[in-house]
Amino acid sequence: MGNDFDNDDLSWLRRPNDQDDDSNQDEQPDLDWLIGDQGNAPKQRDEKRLGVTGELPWLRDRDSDDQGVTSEEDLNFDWMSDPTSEPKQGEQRRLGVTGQLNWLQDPTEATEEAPQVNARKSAIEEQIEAAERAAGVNRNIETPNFDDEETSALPSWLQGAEADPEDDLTLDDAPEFNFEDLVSENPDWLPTPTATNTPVESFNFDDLDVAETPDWLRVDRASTDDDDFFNDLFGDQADEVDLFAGQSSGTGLTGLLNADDVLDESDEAALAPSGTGLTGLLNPDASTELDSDFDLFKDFGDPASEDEEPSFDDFDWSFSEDQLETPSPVQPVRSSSSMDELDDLGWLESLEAAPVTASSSKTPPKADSIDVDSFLASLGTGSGNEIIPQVDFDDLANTIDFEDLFNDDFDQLQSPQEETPLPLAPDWLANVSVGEVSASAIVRKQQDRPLEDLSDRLLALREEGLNLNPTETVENDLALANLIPDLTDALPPAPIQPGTLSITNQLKLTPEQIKNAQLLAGIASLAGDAIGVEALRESVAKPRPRLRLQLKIGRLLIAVVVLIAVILPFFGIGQIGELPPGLFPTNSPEQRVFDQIDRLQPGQLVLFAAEYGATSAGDLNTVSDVLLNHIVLRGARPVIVSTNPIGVLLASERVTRITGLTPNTDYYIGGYIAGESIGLRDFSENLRQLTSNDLQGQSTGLALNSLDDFALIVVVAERLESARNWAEQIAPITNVPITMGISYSASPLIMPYLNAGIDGVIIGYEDAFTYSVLLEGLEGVDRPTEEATASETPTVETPILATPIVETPTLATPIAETPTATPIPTLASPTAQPTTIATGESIATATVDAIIIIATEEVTPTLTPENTVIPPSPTPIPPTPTDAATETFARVNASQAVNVREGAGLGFRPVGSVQPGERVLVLEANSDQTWYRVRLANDLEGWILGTLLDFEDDSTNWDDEGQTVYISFIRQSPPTSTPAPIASAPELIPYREERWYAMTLGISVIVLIIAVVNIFNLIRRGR
Amino acid sequence: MRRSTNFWSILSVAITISAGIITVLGLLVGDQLGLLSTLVTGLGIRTQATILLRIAAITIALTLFIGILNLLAVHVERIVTRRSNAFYSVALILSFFLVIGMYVVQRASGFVILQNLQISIESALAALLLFALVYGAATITRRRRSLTSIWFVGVVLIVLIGAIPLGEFAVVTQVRDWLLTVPVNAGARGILLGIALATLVAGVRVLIGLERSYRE
Amino acid sequence: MEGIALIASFALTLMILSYLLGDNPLYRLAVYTLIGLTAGFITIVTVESVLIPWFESTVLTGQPINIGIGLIPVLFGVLLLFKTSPRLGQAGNLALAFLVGVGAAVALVGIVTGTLIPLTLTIGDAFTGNLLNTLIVFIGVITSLIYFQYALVRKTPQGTVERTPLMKTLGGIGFGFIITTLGALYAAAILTSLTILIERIGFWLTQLTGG
Repeated sequence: MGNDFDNDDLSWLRRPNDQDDDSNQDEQPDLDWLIGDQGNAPKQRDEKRLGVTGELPWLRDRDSDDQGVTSEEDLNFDWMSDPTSEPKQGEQRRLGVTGQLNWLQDPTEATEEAPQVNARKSAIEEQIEAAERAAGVNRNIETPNFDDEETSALPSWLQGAEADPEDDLTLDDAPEFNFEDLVSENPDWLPTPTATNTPVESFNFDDLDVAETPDWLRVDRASTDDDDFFNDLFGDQADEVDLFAGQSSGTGLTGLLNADDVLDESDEAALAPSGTGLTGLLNPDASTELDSDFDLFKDFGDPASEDEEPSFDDFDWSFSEDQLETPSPVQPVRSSSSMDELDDLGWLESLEAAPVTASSSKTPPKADSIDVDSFLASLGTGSGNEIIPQVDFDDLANTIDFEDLFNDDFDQLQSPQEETPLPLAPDWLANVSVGEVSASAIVRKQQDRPLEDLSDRLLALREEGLNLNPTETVENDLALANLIPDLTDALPPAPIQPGTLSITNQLKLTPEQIKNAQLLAGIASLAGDAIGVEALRESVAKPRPRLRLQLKIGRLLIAVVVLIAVILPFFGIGQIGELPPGLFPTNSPEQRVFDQIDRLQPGQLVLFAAEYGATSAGDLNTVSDVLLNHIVLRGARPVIVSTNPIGVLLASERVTRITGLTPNTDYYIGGYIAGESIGLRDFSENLRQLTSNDLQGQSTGLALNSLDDFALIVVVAERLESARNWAEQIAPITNVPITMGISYSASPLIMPYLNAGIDGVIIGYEDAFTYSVLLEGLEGVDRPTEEATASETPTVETPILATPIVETPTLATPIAETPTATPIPTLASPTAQPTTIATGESIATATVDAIIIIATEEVTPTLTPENTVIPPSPTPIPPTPTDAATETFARVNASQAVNVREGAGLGFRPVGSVQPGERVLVLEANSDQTWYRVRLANDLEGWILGTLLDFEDDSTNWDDEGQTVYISFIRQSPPTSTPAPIASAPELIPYREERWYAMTLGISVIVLIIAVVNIFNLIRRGR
Repeated sequence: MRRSTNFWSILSVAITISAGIITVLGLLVGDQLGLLSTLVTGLGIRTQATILLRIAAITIALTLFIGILNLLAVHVERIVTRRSNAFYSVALILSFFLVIGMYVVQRASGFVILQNLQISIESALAALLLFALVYGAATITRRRRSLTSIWFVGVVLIVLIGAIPLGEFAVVTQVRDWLLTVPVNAGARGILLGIALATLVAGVRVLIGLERSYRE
Repeated sequence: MEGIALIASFALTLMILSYLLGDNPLYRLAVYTLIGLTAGFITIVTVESVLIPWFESTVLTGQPINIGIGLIPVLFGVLLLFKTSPRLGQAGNLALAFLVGVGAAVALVGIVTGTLIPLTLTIGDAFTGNLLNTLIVFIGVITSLIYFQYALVRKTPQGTVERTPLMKTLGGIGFGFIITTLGALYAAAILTSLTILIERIGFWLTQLTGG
């Protein structure tokens, strides 16, 4: 291969520059790649490459020694070669794969090529001119200058046929291209084949010798056949063709583009499909012998043997019918009907007759009538006149230098600067196929579906489209019209109006974003007129203030009014309305709650669920207070649990407010139940394990087996979900009545559960108010003491502290009717003598501030192996009047309950136990002061080991500050049988009436606001 | 897009179905169901269900604890990296450890914090909610004027007015009581039954393996 | 201590109420403090009341089977942590699958035995003797369920999906009952929040005046 490749700058890809028409007059498209330049290196002339896909410089014939012979009678494919080159005898014709339609070039342009080439070119040009003149076509064939950057957009292969931009041409002026004109039995531009109807042998690509100009690319310059070929092609018969003028009457190749003068009768005859020759190429309908022969390119890549000579038959020149009928995107490609006219390439024959005005000295030989068949037959015959030289594909494959192939300087490629309409359907459209159908055929064949087949959506779209008013038509859009000739109307493109981005006007940038935007603006260094930048910069330049108060006037006004309304009643102002009733309606849900709790017996366990958090504490703490106090007042023992971790803390805090209660004796903090419904179910199934320890991990001493061990279940819930969990998970599996105290917000959705798992419910502050009033008149509960004797006392064996599960003793009269009853002593012992404490009694220097409820019975199992649970003595020990001033008190200092024994020694039988921290009255000591006789809260007396007592130095160790402390159970007077009245009920709910009045006034104000504003809105909008 | 079925997915579904069925059988089947009761008792399914419940509850508690640790970690990271809102994270961390410290040192002080701080803040938030609710009810017909909104506001007003003992205007209270007892009761039952049915369907779907969204 | 707590209580309340003036740092500070306090209390209760007893009764017993059972929740907790990892996220699905299975079973059992059957059987129990109220409740329940039920639909000739006229009517009636319920819920929420506000005012006054 020559050095052309290295030097080639792919200028063939450049578009011609219209503005340089004059300067490019002398420049002609260089078809060196198709011809042998006899060793002449390609020069700058190479810029005028024609051909859709461009030049294949490595296929150029540079230094070919082969003498491709082309006789005058051979079908000469010189039209595909450099028209400026002189066809020589034996010079093999080059056959580009894509072909370069030099017949479209301006044959009058001269190049600076080698004389032979130039001569050939001039010959071709003369032929063209001759043909054109014969056709009476005048045109200024401008040879595009691909080197020129300002070359027009007209593809090179159209050069010479481009209309003068100054011409006021329209698409209608474009000549009608007839593909059939390309095909003719005897196209003039085809050299006469040496043999008629000689089948074209397969093209032998093996003959391609890239090291040197392949033979088949060489033009037999010695042969005048090439010259004749071009002469035939563009010679005398060549007419000047004005592509768009439509005036061409010539039958030369330029007449291809002339819609008016394409065919004549002779042409038609010539174009009659004969089945052979090039006619068959473009007329697949015609059965041609050549059709099957043109399989060369199908086998491309599978090089034929060296012996095989490539023939034209090997090329797959066949076109599908659709391809033929594909309308050119640009006129003058016509419809299929006109396509038929194109089948006749008789006009090519007229090229012969067209006089050729040669610009060069060499006059192209007169072209004889070209017999396509013979031409084709001559191919590959080895006669030397083959148009298509033999190509050794093996050679090609072995010798082609693909590196050089791609060493083209693509930088010099220039994209077309102007979109020009294509007179023909672009090859790309024809070549692009979907299966066997080309894209152009698909587009051409596309038809609208009938309206009946369209869906509603498409129909609606169609109607919308019909109603659109395009502001411009296709007529004004030359490019579009050239692209789709049949298109007459189109919607205008959507106007794109660059401007300030709306988003930048609505951006609320944080300081960080402002900083980032500034950074971006600095980095980007955008121009001042860039879209959106100015707006962005403006927003960046004005940072928002960091702190901005968003006044919500409406809410603020409402808040102020409501706050005033709820504060005033606390100061005695605006106390309107009545207080809630002091009684619940008979058999109402609220009354049922009261009754349920009031029926509790002392010592009974009540499961108290505080299912509310800190948010509802203000509402439900009141409810919890009244319920807990009622429970405790009845002598029952609440076991506090909750699925809300805050709720268990709140409830424990509420219960610790009740003085006189001993944890894990009078009440139990069962703990937090994790897992909502799962935890509740787990609680019901693992009750014993979960109630054995309190919130701090201390042993509760409870040994519950099932929920039925409880006498009552009280749930204080703030949300529907909490209450529903209890109604679903607990209510169905127990017979224990369940009562609820709920907030207002949960009441509507909880009421359906009434009588469906829930026995009673109190709602909100109003019911709590009434409840507290009821508690005021309630008499205190009698907490009976233990009745069992020693002989009847069961012995409880407590296990070693290994598991939190405690063995429960069997009692004589268990509370729950189960064999393994709780170790809680029984109630209602007939011999029990209640000991009560009257509130308000001043005891020594004590100050009573709150409810005093004393538990008179106590027996709790301990975890020491030696301890046994023994009910206290059934005989209450009357208190010994003592001098308060000399009373000695002590507190039990132990980590667990301590036995109280009959005598001063471990050998004595325990008669009871005392809890750690419990305060006892020291009565006497033994001789060595190792044991002390003490009196417990339940008036039980016994002996306790001295080391387990912390004596109080101050016998009157009351809290002189008046705070609520643990009040001694010591009474100054003998116990009475009158039950202890409840401490001041109003203290249960501080500011009880004021709060109610505040609620009343607050509700009134809220109702007023809502009603007035809504009425105003309705009236205003009604107008 | 079809999810790829792999070992983990199959194992997840198997665990769900097995754990669910064991729990259902253990909780539902009593002693009066004949063969089924015998089977459940004999296989110890009830005990297994109990154990599964325990494990699930503890897992939830542990997850809650891990979540709180994660919360602390996030805010500690904010402090360390000195992000813009690190000051608030400092307050969060400090208040957290204040509670822990006070509760450990003196339990009673924990109650003080609970009563004075926690309840105060949440009560104030509830007060904000009150103002927003009132504002919303007052402007409902301005935003949307329809029979529905008018009826909605009417019910709100009747329930609010009925909460006040009006004495001689007890008819309003009676109307409100009837409203709460009959129509509201009916609507609430409908809502609760609807929730129950939906929960039932979802639960069955989970137990038979149709609902596998937890694999996301 | 009490005094400081009271002052802090008042200050925090004002900080929360400052939201009426707009979102501000004081409000955010109070909210973040609330979160920290809540997290602290939850941690204390959970660890003290649930986790420590569990590990004491299982892992710390020394018995292998107890240890195994005791560590299962730990394992599940670790698996759930893997959900944050895209690679190991599927392992976390195991723990989630277990919780979902158990939770679904519990919900299923509770729904059927605690809601569906009792609520259905007691529709008219509250109105024994009052036929009108019973009928209204019955109609309200049925129509409310119909309103939420979208299965009773049909396809129009135009291809759209809609209910039959009868179902539309019944659904409309049910919608009325539901609106009534929602209105009552809204009013109840107002009452609850008003009660809470008043309780706080009473608390402050109690603290200020010493009761």
